[in-house]
Amino acid sequence: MRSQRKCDLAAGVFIALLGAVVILAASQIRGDVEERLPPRTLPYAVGFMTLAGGLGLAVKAYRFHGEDPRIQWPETDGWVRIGVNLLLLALFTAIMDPLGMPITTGLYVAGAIWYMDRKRVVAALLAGAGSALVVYYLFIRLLELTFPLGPLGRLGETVLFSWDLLLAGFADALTWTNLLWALVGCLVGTLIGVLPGIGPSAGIAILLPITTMIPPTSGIIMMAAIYYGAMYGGSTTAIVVNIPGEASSVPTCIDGYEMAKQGRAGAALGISAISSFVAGTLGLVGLTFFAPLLANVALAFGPPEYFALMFMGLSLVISLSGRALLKGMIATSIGLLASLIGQNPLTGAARLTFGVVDLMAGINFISIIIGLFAVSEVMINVEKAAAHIYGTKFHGWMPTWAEIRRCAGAMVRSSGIGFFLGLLPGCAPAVTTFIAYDVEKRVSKHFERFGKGAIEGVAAPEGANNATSSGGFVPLFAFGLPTGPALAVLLGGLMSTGFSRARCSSRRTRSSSGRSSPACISGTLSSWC
Amino acid sequence: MYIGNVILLVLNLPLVGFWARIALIPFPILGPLIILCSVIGAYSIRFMLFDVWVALLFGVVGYLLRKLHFPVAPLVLASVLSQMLETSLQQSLLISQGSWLIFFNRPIAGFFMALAIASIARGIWLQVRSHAPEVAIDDADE
Amino acid sequence: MAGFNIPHVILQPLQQDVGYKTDQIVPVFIFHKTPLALAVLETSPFKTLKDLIDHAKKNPYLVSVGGSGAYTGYHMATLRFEKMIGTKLTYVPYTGAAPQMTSFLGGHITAVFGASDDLTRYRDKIRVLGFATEKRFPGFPDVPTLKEQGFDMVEGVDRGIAVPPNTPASVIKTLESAFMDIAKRPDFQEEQRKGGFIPLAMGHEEVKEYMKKMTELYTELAQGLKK
Repeated sequence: MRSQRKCDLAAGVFIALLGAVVILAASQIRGDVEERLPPRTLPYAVGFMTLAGGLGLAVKAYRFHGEDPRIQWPETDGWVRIGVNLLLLALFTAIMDPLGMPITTGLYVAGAIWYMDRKRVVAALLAGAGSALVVYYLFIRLLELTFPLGPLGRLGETVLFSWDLLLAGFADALTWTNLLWALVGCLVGTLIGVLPGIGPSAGIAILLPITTMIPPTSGIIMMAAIYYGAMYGGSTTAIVVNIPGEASSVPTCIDGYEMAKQGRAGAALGISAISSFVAGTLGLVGLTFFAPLLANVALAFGPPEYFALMFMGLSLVISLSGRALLKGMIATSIGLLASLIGQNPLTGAARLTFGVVDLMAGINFISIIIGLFAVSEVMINVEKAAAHIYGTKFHGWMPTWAEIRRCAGAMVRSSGIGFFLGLLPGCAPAVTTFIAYDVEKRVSKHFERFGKGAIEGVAAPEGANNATSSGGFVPLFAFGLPTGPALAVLLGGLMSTGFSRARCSSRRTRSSSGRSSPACISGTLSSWC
Repeated sequence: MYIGNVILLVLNLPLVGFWARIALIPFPILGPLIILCSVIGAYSIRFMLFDVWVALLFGVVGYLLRKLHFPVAPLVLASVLSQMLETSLQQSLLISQGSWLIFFNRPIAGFFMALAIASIARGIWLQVRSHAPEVAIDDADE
Repeated sequence: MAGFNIPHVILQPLQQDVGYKTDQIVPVFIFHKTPLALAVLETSPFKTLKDLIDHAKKNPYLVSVGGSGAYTGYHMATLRFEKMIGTKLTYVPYTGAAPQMTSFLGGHITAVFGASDDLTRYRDKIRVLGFATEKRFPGFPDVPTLKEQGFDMVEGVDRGIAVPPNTPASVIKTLESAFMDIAKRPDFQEEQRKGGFIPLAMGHEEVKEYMKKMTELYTELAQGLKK
């Protein structure tokens, strides 16, 4: 089917059917808490939205009689390549448990590389062995992530190399330099951030034991460095290989990867770092001077305000789908559907699980993002049998001054948005980066450049990202209330070094006027360290 | 923490060259490595294989969506937002005793709702007005 | 291994299909108990419990009480209280204690049934109307218990650690003794008290007994509350 029209028709019908299935499944949901809270409402609503979207698309496609763009389906060999790769991936996942992660990794990497390019046998074997070793030593031994070990589990402690001794050695030798710990933290943090799925919160949690081995102030600095490093690492992969490190790096993927494909990865990475830096600075300024005032704003946000904010974010994103409003709406409903599966967060009632226990925990949005961006991008490249990801030569390590100037407005705006939204408890950083990106797109005079490598499209989400973390510190210092899991972990880390949140909140109440309270000042001073 | 910020800038700017070089690795090698990272990443969320299968599934979904020119960004944002959206909706309706006006009576909420309605309205207006292909084509991404 | 709390794990499987049953949870240890109390903001017009109840009677459904989750201790407390005063309140569930307290502090809900640790943290901003305990809570000595004011209600949330159903007994023993060591330390207990918790140190067998008792109690209560 080469015709867009026919494909749209087919897609529309399929989606409409999906909507119907959802509505049927929704009627099976049991358990009402109160008369006003039937847990079926949202599933019904989303089901109808999907159904309507699908029908609308089908009808529109059917009635359309105009210029019909072609869809570039792959040739036969393209299909074969994709098919084999998918099969390899499925095999990988299936075998991972019995054979253990390191062995399966080695096999998969070697096998996949050899399949893609028969001539590179040596490279395949090396890469396979290398990745197996990295997985074993770095992830299983050092970071102690519980990947399945398979037969290697019987190896036990008899390894050639023990991290504990090495780190203890470092701790002894380097206790005299805080800066060095910050450096180590940044490196490790970036490494963690590079991996999709391990975000800053997980990173800090994993590395917390290591930070206890070193003196407290260094520990705090290192934790902060890890946090910032992890957030930056996420953007690096977003730009270079279209894998968002976490949900908040997704908008960065959109323009950042396009820039990379045009050979301007260096510029994208550069503006990302600069924008983060500017936002971080502005954020700290905001924290120092405006924290008490803003903390009250955070309180003024109750459930209706949150809903309105989320709704606005969603409608902004849909309306920026250019002329594809219907498709945007359908995409939204698919996303909503995917997250509806599982337990209702308030009542705990199971929804759309069809009796499958695994679905009870719901679908984690990070898996969705990884699949949508990373895996599908690889598939697209596989289909084209691309030799390199980037067609063009690499030029320009850094953004030009003109470009930096152009982004100045974006940086300031996104810092503001990020900081403000960051101080709302429970507002995920992902939301702020999307809203910043969309606002930038609206405000820009060159609306159509976004999505094709507009540098402001990288500056905005990155700035917002950083500013959100600064904003998150406002309620933390004012009330001892962490706005999200990453900060909660940070708080835990801080508390283990004696930082008292009760002290903070009690001093806060003594200054009901807008003047900076002692606690806020001491809090921000420690953040300036 | 500010030192961390400065160090980040100082450290990462030179590293830019290194990171960018990654893309120069030939794709037959880079591809499987990216997939490896994705699998590790997906698995490490909750240490459940299920998440990896989900990632695989959405890889296929994502591929299809891009081929058919669907915008992907709303999907992502929707899946992130939906939990909060639903929770706040239910709570608000409880507080307001079932009245939907609660979203418009309060200044802050009303402001955001107005923005939301304005942007939807503008989107619909543009769609209706443009005599461009009625088949929904997304010209923002791909 | 996971943290768990009573009565949450008892009530939820009773009321709806949540994918697990109470006896699948194997408790190892209980760290502390946090009794619940009804509180309003300091700036609220309700000065005593009676004021709140009178207002609720005149405006059924108008008083909103926050709590975290449905079919948890907080929800239970609200339902029981509702029954005792004979008027309907509106229970607004939140996804956790932190959002609940933030919304409460922002004035979006009228009152909360809060846990003693949250209430202790924000004690300068709130007015506690009554504690659901047998005796007065040491952290708030001038607040009368609900019992004193005529409502015989004791409600609290106990938190601890549990393991999945097929965990070998040796693992349970190890975990239990580790936690017991920590829980018995006087400085740890002091920290807990300062935070507004009532420290406990219940080991595996003790908790199982306690859970059995609680399950009976809550099953009865739940039956009584079904309309």
